[in-house]
Amino acid sequence: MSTVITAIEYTLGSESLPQETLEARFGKEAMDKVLKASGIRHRQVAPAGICGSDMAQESAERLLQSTGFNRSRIDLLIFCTQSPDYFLPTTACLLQDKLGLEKGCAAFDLNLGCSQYVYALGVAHSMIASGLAQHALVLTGDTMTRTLSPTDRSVVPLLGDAGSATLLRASHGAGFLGFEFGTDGSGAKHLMIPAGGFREPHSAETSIARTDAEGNTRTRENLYMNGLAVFQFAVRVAPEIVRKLLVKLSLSMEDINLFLFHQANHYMIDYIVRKLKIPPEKTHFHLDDIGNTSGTSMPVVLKEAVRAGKIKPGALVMLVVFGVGLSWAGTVIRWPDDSGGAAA
Amino acid sequence: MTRDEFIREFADIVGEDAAKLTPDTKLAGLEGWDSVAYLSVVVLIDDRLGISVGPEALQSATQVSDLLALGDSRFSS
Repeated sequence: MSTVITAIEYTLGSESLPQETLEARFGKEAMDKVLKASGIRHRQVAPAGICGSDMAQESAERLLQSTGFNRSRIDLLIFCTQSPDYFLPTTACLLQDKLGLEKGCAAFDLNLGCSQYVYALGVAHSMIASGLAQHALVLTGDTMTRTLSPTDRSVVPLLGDAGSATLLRASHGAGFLGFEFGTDGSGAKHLMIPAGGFREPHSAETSIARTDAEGNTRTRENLYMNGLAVFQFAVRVAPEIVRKLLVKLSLSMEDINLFLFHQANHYMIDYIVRKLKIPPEKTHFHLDDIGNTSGTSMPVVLKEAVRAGKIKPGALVMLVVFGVGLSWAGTVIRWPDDSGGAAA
Repeated sequence: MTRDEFIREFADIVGEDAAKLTPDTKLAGLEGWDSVAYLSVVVLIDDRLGISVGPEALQSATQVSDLLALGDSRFSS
């Protein structure tokens, strides 16, 4: 038995962060360079008071409305986030109540960043395929822009905020063919918020802003990214995921109809695509006007690829995600036909 | 790829005149030697020379000769 995605919806942060605003902050020349490398010319960010869970909830309500699916049939809710509403309780419990799901619904958070979506699909798939659940709602939602120092040019131009909802159910035909997961915690230091948790609690010291060698100012409570290290990690691991999945599933590059990568930035994905000799028409982008939306970037680009007509019934689609942790994952999906009810 | 071709492509990346770059040119003195240039050099070395450069190796490079050394074994004459 496999599991199919039957619908996807997403919600972007409602505030615009245009290039002009950042040109005024960082200078036009600096922003032109960032634009050339990232391809990101506009971002959508969440306004104050809006949490990742709010954008996930809005996406879920739209999904339930558009599909007419009876919410009482959902018995598994996974909320993927690294910007939860509270330290505790688990945000998924709050979402179970806000969405009016049954009390018999299992609900938990999955704390990963850019790799979260494929991990959550894997967990939902294994619970459905083993009979532990029937219908799963996988939600994502993050407000990573709120963790940034506004004067940190290495991250502010790249990130946006968003949330999403994906509905899954059992299938006897199409669905997930296999998964690949991986972790390298030795690279944790390259992408992290060092202070504010229990290892290094908030203090006067952690709130002091310091300027690094590249002229970026941040505190230890802000997101830090070693862009070069993360880039090198991504361009090494993404082709590895692709190759391992192909070997595991006895498939060739030619068998895959569409390769979708975590929408980190254009330069990185272009390079990965070139390295793997993937024809441009066999991938899809959706980040130039919204920014890198962390774990929500994959459901966004998947939905947009469907909308663009790039995923036909029966197509093989490979999803490849990588990021903070360092953590990575990939999966291959045989896209269902219309009778599978997979109108995303 | 020869050493001269590498220097020409590197000059393009940092927006300098290739004729003015020598192995002794200090990277810190180049206005265009920033994080975007870092990425471009990683891609250049990987793409054209087939060598995957680690972050420490590139970040410890101080002059053009250090970049040439990263691809040393693969340059054609």
